[in-house]
Formats: sequence, structure tokens, C-alpha cells
Amino acid sequence: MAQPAVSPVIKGITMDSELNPFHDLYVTETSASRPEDFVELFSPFLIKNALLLFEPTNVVLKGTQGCGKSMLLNLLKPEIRLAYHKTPIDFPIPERLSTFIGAGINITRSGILDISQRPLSADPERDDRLFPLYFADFLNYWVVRDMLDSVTLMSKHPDVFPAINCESPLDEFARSVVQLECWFGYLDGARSLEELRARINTRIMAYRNYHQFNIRNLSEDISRTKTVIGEPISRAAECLAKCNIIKDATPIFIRIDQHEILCRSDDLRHDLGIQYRRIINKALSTRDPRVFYRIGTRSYAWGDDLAVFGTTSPLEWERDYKVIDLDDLLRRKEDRRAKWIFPGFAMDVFYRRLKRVYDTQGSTDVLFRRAMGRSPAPADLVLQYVGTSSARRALRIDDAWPREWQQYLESLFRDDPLEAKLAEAWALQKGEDNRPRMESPPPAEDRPWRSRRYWKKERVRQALMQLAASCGQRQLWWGEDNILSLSLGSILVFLSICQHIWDTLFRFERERPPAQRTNPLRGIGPEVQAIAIQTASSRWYHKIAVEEAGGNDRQRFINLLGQLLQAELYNDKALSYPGHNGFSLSSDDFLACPDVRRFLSDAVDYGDLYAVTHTTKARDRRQRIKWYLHPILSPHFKLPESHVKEPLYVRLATVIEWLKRAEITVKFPTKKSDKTSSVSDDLPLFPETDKR
Amino acid sequence: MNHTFRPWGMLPWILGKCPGLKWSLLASLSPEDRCLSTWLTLKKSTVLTANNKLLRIKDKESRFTPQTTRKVEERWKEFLAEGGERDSVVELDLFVAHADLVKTLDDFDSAAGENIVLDITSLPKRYFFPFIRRLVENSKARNIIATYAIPSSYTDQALAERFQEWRPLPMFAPAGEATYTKFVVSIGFMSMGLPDQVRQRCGQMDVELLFPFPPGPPGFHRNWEFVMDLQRELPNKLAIKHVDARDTSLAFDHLVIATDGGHKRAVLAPYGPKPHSLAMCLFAIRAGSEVCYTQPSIYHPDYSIGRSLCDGQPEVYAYVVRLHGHDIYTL
Repeated sequence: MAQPAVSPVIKGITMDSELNPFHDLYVTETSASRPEDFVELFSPFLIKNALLLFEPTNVVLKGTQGCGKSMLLNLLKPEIRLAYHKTPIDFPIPERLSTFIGAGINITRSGILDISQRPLSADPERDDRLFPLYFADFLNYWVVRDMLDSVTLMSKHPDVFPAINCESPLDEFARSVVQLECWFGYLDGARSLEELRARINTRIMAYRNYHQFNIRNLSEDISRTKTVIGEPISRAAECLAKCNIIKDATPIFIRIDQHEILCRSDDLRHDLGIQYRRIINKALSTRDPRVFYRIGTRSYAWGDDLAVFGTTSPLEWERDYKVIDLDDLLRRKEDRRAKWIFPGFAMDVFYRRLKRVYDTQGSTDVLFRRAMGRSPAPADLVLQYVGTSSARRALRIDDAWPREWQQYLESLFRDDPLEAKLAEAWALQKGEDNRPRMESPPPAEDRPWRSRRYWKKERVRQALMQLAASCGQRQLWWGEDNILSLSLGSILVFLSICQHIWDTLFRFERERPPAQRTNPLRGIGPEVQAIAIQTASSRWYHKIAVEEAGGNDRQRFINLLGQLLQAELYNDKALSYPGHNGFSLSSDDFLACPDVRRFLSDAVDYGDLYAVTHTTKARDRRQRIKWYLHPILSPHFKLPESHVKEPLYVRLATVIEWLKRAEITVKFPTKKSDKTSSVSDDLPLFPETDKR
Repeated sequence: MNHTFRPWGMLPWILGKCPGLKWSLLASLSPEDRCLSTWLTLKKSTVLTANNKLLRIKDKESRFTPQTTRKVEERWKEFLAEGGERDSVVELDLFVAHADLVKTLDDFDSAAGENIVLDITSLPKRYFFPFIRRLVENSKARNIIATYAIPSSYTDQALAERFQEWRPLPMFAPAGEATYTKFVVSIGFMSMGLPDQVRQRCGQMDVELLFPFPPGPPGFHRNWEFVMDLQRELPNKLAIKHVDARDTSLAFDHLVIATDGGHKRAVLAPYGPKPHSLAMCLFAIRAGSEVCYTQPSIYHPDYSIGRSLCDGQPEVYAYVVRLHGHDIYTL
């Protein structure tokens, strides 16, 4: 007998209390101020796939919003390590990698972007040369201050941080830092850690006061002692080892959060943003044996510019830095043989959330499956969609069809509406002018739509979509598989769906006497789940508008695209193009127009679209990229979330036309030789669709 | 509760209490009809000096640009027709550097006389917050008044678009290292991405909402949606304080109380009516609070429609910030 997933008693809670275990979606991201919650809810599931983050090398941690970047980076903070120590839960990093010092800077929070908001001199060109140098200087001071804070905190807890040798006096370390030449004498006179910190603070405050217009000038003290990016950080790390505060091999991990702001903010001149990024690239290029950078960024935001400040050479992937691509790690691969790790992660997170509220027992996957149940099979769905609708309404049977076919479809529909739909599609595919070529249906023993497994499998979702639409029904999603598919590897989307399910359940149950209320862990009904998923989907759609860096533009584009793709799939009665819930551009086209590239990349970075490279099946074998709406938007747009067959092939001109229709202001190539120069206002929506 | 008398009321009433004074105006020439309400009132009262400045602030290019340009053109023609000086209009980009904001204010201040009116009606927060700070901290003016004009209505569409990341407004970054324990949000029509962006920072602070009252329908519906947005994203319990939408003084008092006289460090989020934003601005100057905002890049050309009239005159409220050299809003 299977182990029960839930104990019969729910600890300390009845449905009256309506405590939604998923109310706070972001606990593991916001744990800087609530480390104990982090420890309780953090799922170590991802660690084994992201161990690189704790290895001595520079790492770029890429991923869309909500994929878990901040959660993983939080593990580098000493406060989190300390919180683990206070609980019986082991720090989730393997022991061989758990000895490190963490420090960092948040680009937005630190105020570093204020540099360039006030001129340094009367000469703008000179200022443009100076701003990146001051940016580097501010970053150095900020990170070294954070490093001192980390070391101070760690030294107070030697039992937690064996990396720190508390016998060695920190003041001696401070004095050796002060003597470093890289400061150009600015720190001279500081004789203790406290004084060193105060001196660094004075410098940071001077920057702030200058940018607050509290002081007239940045003092000459600062302008004469600008530091080189990364050097003070490296030298300070060296001092830690020389003073025996850390062992020689202890790595120092420097977090740089919200790096993408440098190329996405209207508040920062674009060319200056590039220079600032190059400064950070320079820090990575030094390949210091002790200091290793961790850059948290969105996927496309990282690759825009890899040049190193002051040089002509770019950063080299694998040599200067390695990449952990969380989206790639967590999303289901098109090659279904590859293991999909997201379900295990999601179920573990689900279990930890429930454990806080309910007295749960049993394994994580059993708990999730028990609560959500199985997703519906097509046969279950078709009955819900068709209900009492007639074959004529559901199949939109054309009167021009041979009478025998019409009767056949009506009769088949009575037994199995889905099979009738597939039979109709097969007849259309084999026919011409929207009618079957054969006057009568094939004999019972030869029904290709039934025997050709893949033909059927690839078309079932489109068939269901058309049936639901023609019968005026909403499509439904519920159960384990659907929830995981709609999440597409985003733990934030997964938690949001669960949050809506619990909210909807509470709303439903409120009307019932407490004794009759559902124990969610014993199974939440499909109706509740379906409504909640629909709400969650619409909520995600509405959230697009408030994302920074052009959310409104992206929402209009997504709305247009969703409707276009919906119409494509709905109007394709022959079910010839079941893959047209996405579109594909050749890589050349994608690269041809920088503004289109940037727009689509932003949409991917913000999780509105997702992109997959693929190779066309056409003879030219050109490399292409296909884009789909994020699956969580599928219920909102009534589109199947699964991807089969070839997407809609379009050219750059079509995408530009879509952007124009969505009223998005982008600059298009205008040279006569450019493919986009011929764009006119009256282009059809799919003018050069390469249907196959 | 602070019982300092802080004069505010209809602009003509305030002007009537300051007989014989001539005022220099800094305002905005925008697509909104109401952007000229203060100017028209001052002009009609014949209390304007020759040193006035209207800022034509250009937001980012968008699908609204042609309509916005046309509407600004209409306001410009009206301004000239009513006797405005061509030279007094200055064009600036919405995202000019902080230094340009300061220079704009300083240039105006040095040319203005002893009495200054800053019309915040159509000035983006990115502008009017540093302007107020600069005036309060640097200006030698003896009398400073902020004004706010009421429109007939607002568009039912999104008021603004393309929001920036959650960042301090110019000159309102944190002064130094401090632990912030209070997060005060003034509630407006649109949350503009605020809930998404503040959870990491403010997830553990006490949250207080200044809810404008009485906005009346349909405005209150949008206000409650804003509150719901916050509730969805923030785990914190939200304490709601209803504050008259036009009462800067009362909003200031609430801030004083919420922060225990300014002793608790607060992060302020001005998303509500401009008089509440003005209160936040004045409070932040005194208490050293951080003021953050998700500055939009684009404003709807019909952000507001028409001018509300009171006894046949534009409905303009005036808030005395400095009177006879004494700052009115202090801790």
C-alpha cells in the first residue's frame, strides 16, 4: 500500500484560517531580511545542478525573472549561512565547496548609477572619459566595504565559519589593506578595521553628497586617487590570506546584482551604460586566483557587449567566465529523452511550503500528485467542451460537403466527437477547395486518423481548441502535468499558480460549513484548479504591462501575437499546421534589425516569450529561432501550450509589421538594400508565411 | 499631532492673504488643459512678475508622440493668446541629468524675485521633487507656494507607460547607511510596477498606505486595485490611512506620526495625488527619507482632460511652503 501523503490531522489549521501557503511568492528571494524563512523554504534541489556557482571561477548566472537567481545568490551571504547554523538543517552546499567569503553590490540600490548625473568638469567629453573611472572606483570601495562587513560578521561566529581564522587580529589586516598602493594613499592614517571602514565610508558618502548636490565639488582627494577596477578587491583579498585570516585557497565571491540595468535604463545614457558594463567585464578579465565574480543577469542582457574596458579584446566564454543558464537548466528540452529536472524542484518547493502550514508526511511527489491529481486526457476534455452541442455546431460542418460525409461525421460525433473532428481534418487535408476529394468516407477498417499515431497525437490539442471555441467553451487546464507544463521551468509561475489555486479553493469553501470543507492535500477539484489557472494566466498577462523597460509595449505585442496565433490555429480546419502557436525567423533575419532583435530579446528576458533555436527542415537547412508565448499565457489566449510540428515561418518584414500594428516605436533599417525597406502600411499579416 | 498652522486653500484665497506681492512662476507646458490653470489665475490677478518659466518636458518617443505634440501646440497657442511670453518656455527631456534639473531651478531662482510659485500640476515627480528640495534648501526667496490644479477628469486608460526600475528620485537617495523600518506608499490610480519591484527591499518593513479620500467614483475603484496589487505581492500587513486627497498638511502630519516624528527611517513611494506627493517631498527633506519611484517614460496625452472650475475660475489649490522667510513644513 502506498505511503499516505498526508496525515489525517492538519496541524493547527482549519479552513477557517485560510492561510495560503503560497501567499508570499518571494520568500527565498527576499530573505536578506528574513534568513530563517529562507532556511525553512529553500529547496536544495537545484544545488547539484548549479555547483559551478560555488567553484573558484567567474560565473554569469543567467535567467528570466523568477527563475531562482536571487535565491541561489543569497546562499553566498554570510547571514544565510548563519541562519542555517541556528537550525538543525545543514547548509546545503557540499562541504568541499562551502568555504568562501561573499561580498557584493546591487547596481540599483547602491546609487552607483548616479555617477554621470552631475558633470565633473566643464568639458562634457572629458567627463565621458572620467565617468567610467569613477564608476569603477565607487564599485571598488563599495565591494571592499561589503567584504569587510562579511569578514567582521564571520569572525564573530568562528563555529559557523571555519574559513575565518579568528586568532588573527582584524586590525592588523586593516593596516595591511591601508598600506596597499592601489589606494594611492587615500586610506592613509586608518589604524584599525573600524577606522578603515570609516575612511571607506567617507569616500562613498562623498560620492553621495556630490550627487545630492550637497557639496560643490568632489574633493581632489578623490579625483587624485581613483582606483583601478577590481584591483583593491583583489589586493584586499590577498591581505586576508597574508594575515592568515583566511586560508590561501579560500575563494572570495563577489556578487554583482541587477547587472542588466546597465543596458536597459532610460536614466542612463546608452553609450555610458556600455562603458560601465565594460568596466565590469574588465574586472572579470583579470582572472584573479582569489576573487571570483558572480553576475546575476537576464539571458540576453549579458551577451550584448563583452568588450573589456580600454582594450579591443572581448571576454571569452569558458576562459574568462562560465555560465549557469537557469532557464536552460529548468526548461523541458524538445528532445524528450533529456531528463526534465523542474518537476522534482517544483514538487520539493511545494512540499516545503505546505510543511509550514500543514502536518505533511510522505514523499514530495506523492504530496503534489495527491493535491493536484492527474491532468485530463483528451477524452475527458472533449466531453466537457462539447457538452450537448450538435455536430453541426461543434464541427462547423460545411453544407457543400457530400451528404454521405456529413452523415458520417454526425454519426461519428455521437460516439466520439474528437474522432469526428480528426476525421473531418483528415478529409480536408486529402481534399481540395475545403471539401473532401472522396465522395464517401473510408471503410471502417481503414481510418488513417485513428491508425496513424503521431498524426493524431500532433493534432489533438488543436482539435480540442477548435471544438472548445466552436462550442463556446473555455479550454481547461488542471492537474500535475498541466501545472508543470504551464510553469515552463519558472518556479515563480509555479508558485503563482498554486497561490491562485489555494485562493480559489478558499473562496469556494467559504460557503460550506467547516466540517464539510475540502482538505486540499487530499485533492483539489478540477473546477477549482481550472478557474484558478485561468485567473493566474490573466494575471500574468496583465503583469506584463508593469514590467520595467517597456512592459506596455511588450503587452500590446503579446496581445496582438496571441490573437494572431489563436486565429491561425482556429481557422486551420484541416489541422495542417498544429505548430502555429509559435513563429520562427531565420537567424539572419533576427540579426538584421537591431531594434527588432532587442525587442524580442527583451520579451524573452522578461519571460513573456521564450525562444528556441532550431534548424529548418527546408533544403537550405538555415538556422532559425522560434518563439512561443510563455505557456502561462496560453489559457488567457486560448492556445495549446504544447509545441508540435513546425511553427509559423515568417520573415523580418512580418515581425516589423506586427510591431507597427502594436504601435511600438522602433527604428527599422532604411537602406534600400535592407530587407525591411519595403515595409508598407498595408502588408497582410502573414505575407510570406512559409507554410509546410 | 503637530498643530502648526500650514496655510493652504484655493489660490485666489491665498493670494488675497498676501496683498501687494508679485510672484514668479515655474510651471510646465504640457498636453494637459490644466497645466495653464495656475498661470491663468496668477495672470488674471495681475500678480505675476516678468520672470516666469514654463518647462516643455518631452517624454520618450512613442505612439502618443503626434497627439502629445498637437496638444502641447494647442496649449502653447493658448498661452500666447493669453499674453504669455515666448521666451519663457524652455524645452527639456524627461530624463535629463540631475545636474540639468538643478541648473534649471537655480537659473529660475536667481532670476525670480522674493516670491515664488512652483506649479506642480503637470511637473513629473522626477522634476518637482528636486525642485522643491532645491528651493527649500537653497533659495533665498521669502515666500514659496506650491500649486496644484484640478482637471475635469482623467483618462480611463493607463495614465503612463514604460516604467523605469524602482529607484530613488533625483536628490532623494539615502543619505547614508541606515536601517529603514517604514515603507509609506501614497495610493494613486496606477501601481506602475511598484508592487513587483519593492518586495525585495520592503518585504519586512511596516507598510502604511495613504489612501486619498474622498476621490469618489470612478477613481476609488482604481485606488483599491492599487491596494490589491500591493497586497498580492507584499507579505506585509498594510495599514491604511484615509487622507484628504488635497490636504498636504494632513498627509505631512500622517508621515510625522507614522515615523515617530521622523525618528524611524522611512522609504516613501509617491504614487498618489500630487498634494500627497508634495507632503512626502517636504517630509523627506526634513527627515532624510529616501523617496523612490518607478518613473514612467511616457505619459498618456489625455492624462487629464479639461479644467475643473470653481465659481467660474480654474480650481487651483495653493500650499504655502515658506512664508516671510519661515519654512512651514518642519519636524
